[in-house]
Amino acid sequence: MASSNTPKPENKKSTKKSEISKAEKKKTKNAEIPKTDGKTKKNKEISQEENKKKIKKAKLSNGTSKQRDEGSKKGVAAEGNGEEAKMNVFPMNRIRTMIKGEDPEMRVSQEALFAINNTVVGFLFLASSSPLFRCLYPSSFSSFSLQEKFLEQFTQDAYAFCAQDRKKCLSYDHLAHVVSKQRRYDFLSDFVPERVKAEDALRERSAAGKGGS
Amino acid sequence: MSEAEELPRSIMRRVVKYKLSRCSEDGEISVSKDGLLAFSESGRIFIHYLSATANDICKESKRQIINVENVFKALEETEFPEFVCPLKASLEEFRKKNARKKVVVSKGKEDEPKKKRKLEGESSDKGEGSEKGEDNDKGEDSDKGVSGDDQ
Repeated sequence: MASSNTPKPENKKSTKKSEISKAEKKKTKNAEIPKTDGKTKKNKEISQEENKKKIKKAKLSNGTSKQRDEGSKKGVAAEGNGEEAKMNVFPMNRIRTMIKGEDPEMRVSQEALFAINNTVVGFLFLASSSPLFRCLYPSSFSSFSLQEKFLEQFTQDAYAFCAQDRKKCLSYDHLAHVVSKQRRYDFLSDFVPERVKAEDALRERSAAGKGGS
Repeated sequence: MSEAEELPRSIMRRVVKYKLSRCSEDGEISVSKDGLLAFSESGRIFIHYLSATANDICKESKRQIINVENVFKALEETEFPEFVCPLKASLEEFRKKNARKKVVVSKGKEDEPKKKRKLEGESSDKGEGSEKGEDNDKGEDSDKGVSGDDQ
């Protein structure tokens, strides 16, 4: 116990210095103490499952993701804290780290961080619902008639595309189609481009003059 | 460090599947690996896009810390104004719960910073005064699991 107590004050000091070092040292903690000692049995089980998840992240296999989901569901059943569940979906420090990665001098208040966290969830809801279905926005969000009409027409095309495949699987092509068609998703066009054959890409290159000859 | 720059995959999958299962009438709809990766990248770029826009607005008003009003204006500039109303509602809840936690924690210790006060509040609820660091880890993990399921 004495050895485990030693790093804690260092972590507390590092809290004031920077957020990034927090994330790093938290990972170090998990590595040092794989099995957490807890008084409650439920807490033990939850912490062990969480540790297993974190260890398995390195493997990156499909089976691992399934196990993760099961573990998280068990955790939910054990806890049952309705109020805390509504607070945040994504970890706050993670989002803060991502924002700082862009510009280290950027400083964000706690409430702004919370707002960005919730907005990302809403954004994912929006992006995931529009490729396939007509209910374009979650019920709590207000919609605009002009955009709604456009999206409705767009969704019909996307759904027809998906129905032709007779699949119940949302794949990359559907997303890429959404991004390429909607102007509001232009900021994603560089990161979720439509897939092109190598031949066409090479032709475009030669046409642009980069390929030469 | 590369992992720190990505959104957690399990939470990402949960959010997307939750939404898809609500929209579909057939039942569950699966998401391919590439599709999930595209969602993850989209979310990450959206965070950068939104925070950069909010930062620009913040600089215009000659301030140094981005506050929540800057985020609302950024949402309008980035053509996602429909997020502002529900966001304000959830922000009110956030403030109330923050107030509660501060009251609970102030009974015990007043010297610690705000973030640790919240974590202390969680650990005191569980009845574990000792092993503060470990309690912090547990609290965060349980929050993830719980929040994912309810949404």
